[in-house]
Amino acid sequence: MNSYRQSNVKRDRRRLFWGTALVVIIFIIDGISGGNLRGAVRLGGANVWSVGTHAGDAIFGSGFFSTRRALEEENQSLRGEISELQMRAAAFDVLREENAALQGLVHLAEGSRGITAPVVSSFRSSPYGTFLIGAGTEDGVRSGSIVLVGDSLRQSADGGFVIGRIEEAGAHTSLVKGIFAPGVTTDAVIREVGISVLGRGGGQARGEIPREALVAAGDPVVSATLGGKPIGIVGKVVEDAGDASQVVYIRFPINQNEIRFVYVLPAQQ
Amino acid sequence: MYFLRSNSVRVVIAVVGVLGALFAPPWLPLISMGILALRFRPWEVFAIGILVDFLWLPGAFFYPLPLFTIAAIALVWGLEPLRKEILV
Repeated sequence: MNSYRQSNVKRDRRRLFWGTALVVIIFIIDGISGGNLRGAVRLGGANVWSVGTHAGDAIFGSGFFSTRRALEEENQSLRGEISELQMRAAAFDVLREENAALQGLVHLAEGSRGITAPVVSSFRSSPYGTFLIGAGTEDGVRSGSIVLVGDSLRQSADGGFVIGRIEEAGAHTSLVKGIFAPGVTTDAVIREVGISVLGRGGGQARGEIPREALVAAGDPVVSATLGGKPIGIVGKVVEDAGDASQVVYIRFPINQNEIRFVYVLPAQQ
Repeated sequence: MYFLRSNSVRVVIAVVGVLGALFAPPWLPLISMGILALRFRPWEVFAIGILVDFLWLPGAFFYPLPLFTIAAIALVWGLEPLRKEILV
């Protein structure tokens, strides 16, 4: 019995050893192929994400879970009819949300040349502050391109807020690194006062400015290195009596989970 | 029967880890990897680690460092002495 267990353990450990070696080989192959492997993984991930979110919208938007008890009380024919109408309403809601998101980008498209791309991943899944968009080199997207977000309710004078930069462009999907990704530093200006903004993830960042600077919550934060476009707004200013500087907490003004489309500017802009 | 149940648990945790890499915050695949590495000798942990890094990490040739893949290797081999003690 003991020898049987030991042989099983040996077999498992051998498997793990070869698994570890395979991991290294996969990374080397990916590096040699110029990131083709991860490009394929991202394309697959984007497809799974799209299917998953559409299925989720259809299921939860139809009201299947919220009105199930009520529907059970109705007769069979009415139940079918209501379900169909609810499905249509859910589909309409999805289209209306997409339309609103695209309307927020219209003014960006009028002011500068670029392309509109759908967001094809979650904003919260990445441990590295990145997300995927459904446009790539075949659509004219290049590494280094600035990614903007428009908001139909809160349009900045400069046309949209910068949410990130294209870090890697695949054929059909691109990886965007958020401006406020953890550890990312961006030079910016608030009311003509220079500040180095350190990303903290989740659409938030912080920085320090001199104590004398007059900065208040709601002030826009603009970055010259990103075409002079706004990257966020001041959320809170904390002043310590014994400190020569004050801490500025900056946030992205739009809820990232509601962003459906982004606008990608060419790299040279 | 126990073998089947144990394997089912392993598959479910692995699926949660893979889906978590796509849809959930990063702590979910990390916890899945930890549980799998505690209870089994799992090659799936490598797969989840690579998936997270290939999906979300820019760059190639180990720069920037693929933290989830490194975590996967560390979990699998670091917990081996403990598994050796507790696994039947």
